[in-house]
Amino acid sequence: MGKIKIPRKNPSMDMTAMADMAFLLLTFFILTAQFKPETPIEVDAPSSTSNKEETEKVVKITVDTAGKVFFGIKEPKKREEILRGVAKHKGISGKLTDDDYKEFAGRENFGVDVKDLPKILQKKALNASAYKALGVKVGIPMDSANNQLGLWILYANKVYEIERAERREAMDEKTKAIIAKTSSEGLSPEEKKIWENEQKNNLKVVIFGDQRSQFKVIKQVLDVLQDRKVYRVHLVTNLRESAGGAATNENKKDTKK
Amino acid sequence: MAEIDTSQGGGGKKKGPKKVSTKVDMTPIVDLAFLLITFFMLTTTFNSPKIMQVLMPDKTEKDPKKRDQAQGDCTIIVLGDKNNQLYWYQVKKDKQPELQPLAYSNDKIREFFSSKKKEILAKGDCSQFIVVLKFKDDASYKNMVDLLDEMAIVGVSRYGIQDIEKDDIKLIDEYKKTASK
Repeated sequence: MGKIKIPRKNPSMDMTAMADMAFLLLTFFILTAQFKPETPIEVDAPSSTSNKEETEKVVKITVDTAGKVFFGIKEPKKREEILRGVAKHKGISGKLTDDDYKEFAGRENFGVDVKDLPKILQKKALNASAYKALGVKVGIPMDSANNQLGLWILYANKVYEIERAERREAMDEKTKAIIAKTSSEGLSPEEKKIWENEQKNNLKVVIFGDQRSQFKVIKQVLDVLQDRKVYRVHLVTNLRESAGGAATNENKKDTKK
Repeated sequence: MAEIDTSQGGGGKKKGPKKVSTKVDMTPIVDLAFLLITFFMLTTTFNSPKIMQVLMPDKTEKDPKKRDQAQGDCTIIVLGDKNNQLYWYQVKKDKQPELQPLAYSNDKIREFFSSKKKEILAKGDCSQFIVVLKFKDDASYKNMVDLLDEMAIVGVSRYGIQDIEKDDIKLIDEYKKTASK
């Protein structure tokens, strides 16, 4: 009797489909990934239970423990426009070349006197230590004699105000009435959506402060904002994991000392 | 790896040109792709900054009715000092305010505000519970955020940050003096 021959099979698996899928996902994540923007100074944000996300239209004021202030505009398109406004106001438009404007539009943060801005743009200095290496004073001045932070806020507001006016023009009376409300209470779901959308599109002033800093440092910035009639301020916070978090721990630490 | 080549095991009985497999081993590609996916997934999800809204008062407001809403018995004033020290007092007409310490821990603060909220709203002559936060210059920013956060958790309908006044600092100093005696 002849033996039954079992055909030898190659135990291989076709990985092509898997590789396809993996790369599809990979492309998706690469495209949607937003890397942490390079912060020019170390800032350790406090934590809260607020889970509101930061939106696109944001002006971010970064304050470190020493009270040095950095100013950031999140939308690259608006940066150049705002700089043009401030430069004209300060009479330094002549010192800035088109390349400088381009360089400025490419960076999210800066923190120097406007007069030193051409220098750091040309030398491509990105953070506080690079500023120091150039001999430039770190931080935007905001004392009452030379309140440049207020100036930046003023021009940022102006640029976004133009955009807002354009948006308003495209609306009918009904939507205008909805967005004029101060809170979304009592609105129907569709109306609520319109209202929230408008909130998203409004310019937000965000303070990114260090939790170890003293209150007076933040108060300085808040005072500048109040003078510029910005009453709705947002604070960057880390999400607190448990509701009973940071303060309780802090207290324990203190009693140990 | 995934493919085990068994074609040569049968001995050299067949003659003719050797067949070369045209299959490419995809396993390393898949490995790499998944590694990168994991990386990008982790970097995207952990990186969304959260924001918290604070409303500041209008300094130029001239209408006293609008400006001085935080008067009367409906208001609790919280003072923040350095080293996480908190004090509070209730505004009472024509009476010297009594300063009391407030333990700095989330549970205590929350308990305090929710009980005060109930107490003040139960009296009936207050339409809303108002909390005013005032901080000394050397109080920490963390305290401010913690307190604002508690306001949102407890559901205090009206709260705000105000500049600390000389009287308030005096109250804290006096309290410290009596406490150390």
